[in-house]
This record gives sequence, structure tokens and C-alpha cells, in this order.
Amino acid sequence: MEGYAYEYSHDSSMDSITFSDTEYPRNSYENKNPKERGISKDKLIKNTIVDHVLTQESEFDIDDNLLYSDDEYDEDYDDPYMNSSFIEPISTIKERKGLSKGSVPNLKYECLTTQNIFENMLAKVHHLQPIFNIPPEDILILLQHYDWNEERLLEVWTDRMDDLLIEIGINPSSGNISSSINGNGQMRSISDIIENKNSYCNNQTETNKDENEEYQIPNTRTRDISFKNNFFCTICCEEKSTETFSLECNHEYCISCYRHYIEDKLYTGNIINCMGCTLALKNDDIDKIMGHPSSTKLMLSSIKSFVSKHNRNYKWCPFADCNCIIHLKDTSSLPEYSRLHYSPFVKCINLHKFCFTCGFEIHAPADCIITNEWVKKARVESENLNWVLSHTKECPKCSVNIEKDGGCNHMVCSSCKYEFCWICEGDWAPHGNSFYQCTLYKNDDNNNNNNNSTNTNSITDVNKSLKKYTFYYKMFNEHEVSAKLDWKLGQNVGNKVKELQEKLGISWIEGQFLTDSIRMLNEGRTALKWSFAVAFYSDASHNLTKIFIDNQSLLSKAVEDLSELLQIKDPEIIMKRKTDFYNKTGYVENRTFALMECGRDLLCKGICKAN
Amino acid sequence: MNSRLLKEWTQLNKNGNKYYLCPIEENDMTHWQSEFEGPNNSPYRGHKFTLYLDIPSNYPMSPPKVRFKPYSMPHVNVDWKTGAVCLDILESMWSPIFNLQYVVESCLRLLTEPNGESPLNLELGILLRVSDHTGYNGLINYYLNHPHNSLSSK
Ligand SMILES: [Zn+2]
Ligand SMILES: [Zn+2]
Ligand SMILES: [Zn+2]
Ligand SMILES: [Zn+2]
Ligand SMILES: [Zn+2]
Ligand SMILES: [Zn+2]
Repeated sequence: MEGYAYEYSHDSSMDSITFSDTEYPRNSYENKNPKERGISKDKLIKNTIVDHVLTQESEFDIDDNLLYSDDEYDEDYDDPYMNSSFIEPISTIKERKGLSKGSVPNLKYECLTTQNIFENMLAKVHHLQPIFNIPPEDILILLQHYDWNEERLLEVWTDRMDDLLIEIGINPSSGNISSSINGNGQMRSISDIIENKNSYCNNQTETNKDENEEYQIPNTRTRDISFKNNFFCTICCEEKSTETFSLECNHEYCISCYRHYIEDKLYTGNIINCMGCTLALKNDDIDKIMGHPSSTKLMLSSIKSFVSKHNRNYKWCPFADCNCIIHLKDTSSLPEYSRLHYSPFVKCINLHKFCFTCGFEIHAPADCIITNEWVKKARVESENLNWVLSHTKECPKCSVNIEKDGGCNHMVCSSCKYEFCWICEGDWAPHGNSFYQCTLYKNDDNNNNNNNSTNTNSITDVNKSLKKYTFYYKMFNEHEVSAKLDWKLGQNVGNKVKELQEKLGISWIEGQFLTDSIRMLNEGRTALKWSFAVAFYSDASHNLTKIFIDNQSLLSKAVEDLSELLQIKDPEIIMKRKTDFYNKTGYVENRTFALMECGRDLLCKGICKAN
Repeated sequence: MNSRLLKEWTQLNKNGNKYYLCPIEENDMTHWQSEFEGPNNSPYRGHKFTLYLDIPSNYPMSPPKVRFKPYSMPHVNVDWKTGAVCLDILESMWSPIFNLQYVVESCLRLLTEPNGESPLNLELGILLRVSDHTGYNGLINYYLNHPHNSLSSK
């Protein structure tokens, strides 16, 4: 668990280094899909890098003669000083790797922001407007209600459009405002809540009748802000001269109460209703009340929950403070990845790489199964060790963090409304019949442990495996720590490049090798880190495991060497040792690929498997 | 938001006390309690209960946090150990127009209308589900008469 949280913090530091605006002209990354843009001459180098990182097959496919061997690498370099294309080491490798027999399909994806997606939704609204023939604002609410699912909305719309408009709170129902809060009735312990809401509402109005009778007379059926003298607000119970707001229902409250009310709800992304009934506030109303365009916040929150609900095709970049969303339209190639024990890594415009399937950082040589198993184990073990009970859990559906602040095990996700069981994280629906089973399961576990403790053999087994695990977990963590330190180191790289430029009057491109070095260093470190998960789950007696471990230590060495080289502070020495940088960087790259390929071998041959 | 609580308080005083709902300490409006007797048409008749209401700073935009006195309320929707109550109006269905009196009323209503869908007390939940009314009432009675004698309070 600890290692986990930490991983994100080191990721966040990543944002600030090497890829900052000063080093990389901004526009070279603004493009949503670097692969698809034309390559202009001055961007050629940058594109090469981007493509390299973006193209899946380049990650692992490596010529067999590069595997487990490191002696021939150095000869591949002419004096790179003279060479106009500096990225040579990388592109050379890329070419050499080619497509091998186990090549995986290319992933076509786009990197979006919530704003981008919202704009797409607005385009949908535009497209739907002639069909619906109601104000675009109302269509927005309809779409919001139907999770931006145009098809579903259209289906229901043709069937029962009038009902729909009332149900969703766009139109007031004639007469009694009645039962229609989003069909989420399951958790209802008092069935006629809505009626109560209204009767209660009336109650309160009644109590205050004499005090503000003259203002209660419904003079309008419009939604607007008005100014009232000596208005008594039934929410804050203050009598004051104030702006008020009411919808067609004439449930009128002071503007300050309305603002507080809306403020809290902007982040849920759900439709905001009148406090007294089910009539919906439109974006325009929200902006009017708040005094500024707050509804965009609501819309973006709604888009966020849309993304979470469509997490087969949309994935948030997991890196801290990154708001990118990767959209993979066609997920049909994903099974092929897992079959080959590859992981579909994608990259956001901020150059964060992560696995599209499991959402973790790039985790080769481990595949998604090993990765998840490892992370789960880490979670369990750390809980066992510290007895820390978590009061938050991720929603099993949309991964939003949900805080448990009561004893209630029936959880309803605030974002996607998924109802699940806190104990087993399963769907709530079947719990109606078998609630007891998920607790029985836990008891079973306890019993097993008790049985084991009477058996001395298994106790040593348990200790042994715990010891083994502790070791690998330590290694894993250690590399995570190192990776963090590397990134700190990397933060200085930008400054070094700048210094180089100023002191020696060299171009941006010429200083680029430093940036490449730090990037490669991090990739090597990450691979090393995850290789301990692979090693943990591998059959230690197998020869290939031994080769794998040898490869680990070779990469460790390569990584430490490069890391050391990056400590140099004097820009002139840096330039002088440029060749060293190339060689060491290229070596790390080769070792990384070798380790990854070897790890994949372990997986393919079933020597490494999650038990 | 303080005047809202004051208003509720004066209102409660005016209406006389059908049940007793008041701030625990006169000068602290953030902690309330309510004491009432079990409804006649419920297995709780003849027993007294205490309900605690903690008022969040943004009340009434957020609902009060409500719990029974620990180890006092054997009820499907109440956690026996903590007294926590599972009630929709205290969560997703909350609206700022609800007040503390309404919250207490709802909890009282829960005593006559337990909701088998969201069990916090698993034993009672099962009995309710299989419609074992004798067992259900019997267990509640057992709890009520042995409040500090249960397994969980050891
Ligand atoms: Zn107010
Ligand atoms: Zn209303
Ligand atoms: Zn990112
Ligand atoms: Zn993965
Ligand atoms: Zn959710
Ligand atoms: Zn469960």
C-alpha cells in the first residue's frame, strides 16, 4: 500500500522535469495524436522520440542477438557529435528490432481532456436539437441523465417524451409534484420519501405562513432571481432583504442558501434539483444563481463520471495532477496483448505512459495479471502488518474513492450510483438473498489460519513465503525510492541543458541527449522495479529464472552507471562525455529490452505465474 | 446557518415535546440528542432509546450524522455496536428542507418499518428476510433485555 501511494508522488515530480515548456516547444506535444501529424523538419527528432514511445512494438521487440548479450552495442556508434541525427541510438534499435513473430497489433487511441469530451457532447446536442425541438439546455440535461448515451436517450425519447421531460425535472408536472427522483429507489427505507419531502416542505411553509404570506403568493411561473424585502428563507431561517431564486414550482429560497446548495453538488456531476421538489436546475439557472459560469464545473464532473462509467474505452491517466483521458475506440486488440503477455501501454500528451488494461504505470516485464496480483498482495500484506483499516474504498465500478463514514455496508457510489457491498465489494443486488455469505467467507479464512497454526510444517512454510515476499517487496520499494531520486536528478537536467545552451552556445537539439538519458534511466528503473514482481512469482529452480535474475543484476548495474553519469554538474564535461552518455543510455535501453523479453519468456512458458 | 438551528430549537419548544429533542448542552448547537420510547406497535414498546445527532458545519446542506447509543438498538438498519443508522434520507436522499425533527421522526418510523434491503444487523436481517417473526421479535427482545451481554460487547 505504502509503495503505491508513493509511486504517484514520484510520478508527479515527473511532470515538472524534462518535458517542461522550456525544453520542449509546447506545440510539439499539443497535438492530440503525435503519430498522425505530419512531420515537419524541425520536429523530426522530437517526433522520433514520440513515435518511439508511442509505438507498441518498439517497446519489446528486439532482435534476438541483442538478448542476453551486451558486448556489441558500443561498436554501433560512430562519433555522434558529427552525426546530425542524435537520436540514432534509439532509432537504430527501433529499426533493428523490426517486427518479430510475436508482434502485437498497433493501438490507435486519442488523448483527450474532459473539456474535449464535453465539446463533443455539445456537438451531439447540436445534432439532436432539430430532432428534439426543445432548447439545447434541456437536451443537455437529458443527455446528462442518460450518461451522455445518445442512443439510449433516443430510444426512450420516442417512446415517452412527455413523461421523460417531467420525470427528469425539465418540465413541471401539472398538479402535484410527485415521485420522480432518479429511479434510485433501492436504498429507500421509507418508501414515500418524495411525498414526505413535499409534505414536509408544505409543513414548513405553513409554519411560517403568517410571517411571509405576501411573498408566498405565486405571482409568476418563471425561473428567475428576484429581490425581496424581508424575505423569510425556510432553509437558513433568516429573515432578510435578499435576492431569491425559484423555479416554476415557486419553491423560493434565498440566493445564499441556493449557492451553498449548488456549490456542494457541482462536483457530483448529477442533475441538481430544486431543494423542495424534483424540478431540475438548468445550466443557465446555475450560472445565474452562482453569478459566474459554474455550470461548466457540473458538466465536467458529469463528463468525468461518464468517463468512469465507460472505462472500457476511456482511461484516466493515472499520473498525479494529469487530467488526460486516453480514448481507445477499438478494444478488440486488447486480448491479443494479454495472450502474448504484453501490456497495452498508452501515452498521454504529457508523455505519461501507463497500461491501458490495468491503469498502472508501465509495468513490463510483468504482465497485467502479475502486476495486479502483486499489488493486491502488497495491499494485503501491508494491512496485515499494520492493521490499518481503510475507511475509503474505490468504487468497484468507476474507481471513485468512497469514504465510509458509518457502519452501513450498503454503499452507493456518489459518482456512478453503483450499489455495492463494503465487505466483499460485490454488486449489492444479490445481497438481498445471500448477504451472509460474504462474511462467512472471511470466517472461513480465519479458520484456515487457525488450522494451519496447529501444523508446525505449514507455519514454517508460511514464514518462509513471508520472508521471500518481504525480500522482493523490499527490492521493489527500493527501486521505487531510487526512481524518485532519479527524477529529482532529472529535474536538474533541464537546468543543465539550459546551462549548456547558454555557456556553450549549442542548440536545443544538441542538448537533447541529456533529456533522453534521464528518460531512459527512468524506464530502466521502472522495468527493474517490476521485474521483482516477476521474479517473486517465478519458479526459482528453473534455469530461465536464473537467467532472468542475471539480467536483473546487469540492468541494475547499467542503471546505476547511467545514474552516476548524470551527477556531473559541469556542462563542459557533460559535452565532452557525450559519447559516454550515448553509450550508457543505449546500454540501459538494451538491457531493459533484454530483461523484458526474458520476463516475457518466463510468462509465456508458465515459469512465472500468479498462484 | 446558526439561526436555522435556533429556529428549529424554538419551534420544538413551541410545539411541546412529543418526544424530547434538544441540544445536549444548552450553548452547543452542534450536538443534539433525542430520547423517546419505542412505538407501541413495535417490538420496542416499553423501552427508552437515545438518538444522537451531530450537526455538520454546513447543515442543512449536509445531513446530520445520526446514531443510537451504542449497544442499545437491536434493529436491522442499525449497527448494534456503533449505533449507526442506515437511512436513505441521511445520505443520497437528503434535502436541506428536512430538519432535525423530521430526521428523528424518520428514525422512529424505522422502528415500525424496518428495511430488510440494507441490513446493518445481519442476524436480524436474516430473520426478517425469512419472515421468521417469532425469531425476529424474540431476538430483539433478547437484545433489549441483555444490552451489555452480547458477544460483540465483550
Ligand atoms: Zn436562505
Ligand atoms: Zn421546487
Ligand atoms: Zn498524463
Ligand atoms: Zn497492465
Ligand atoms: Zn462509482
Ligand atoms: Zn458482500
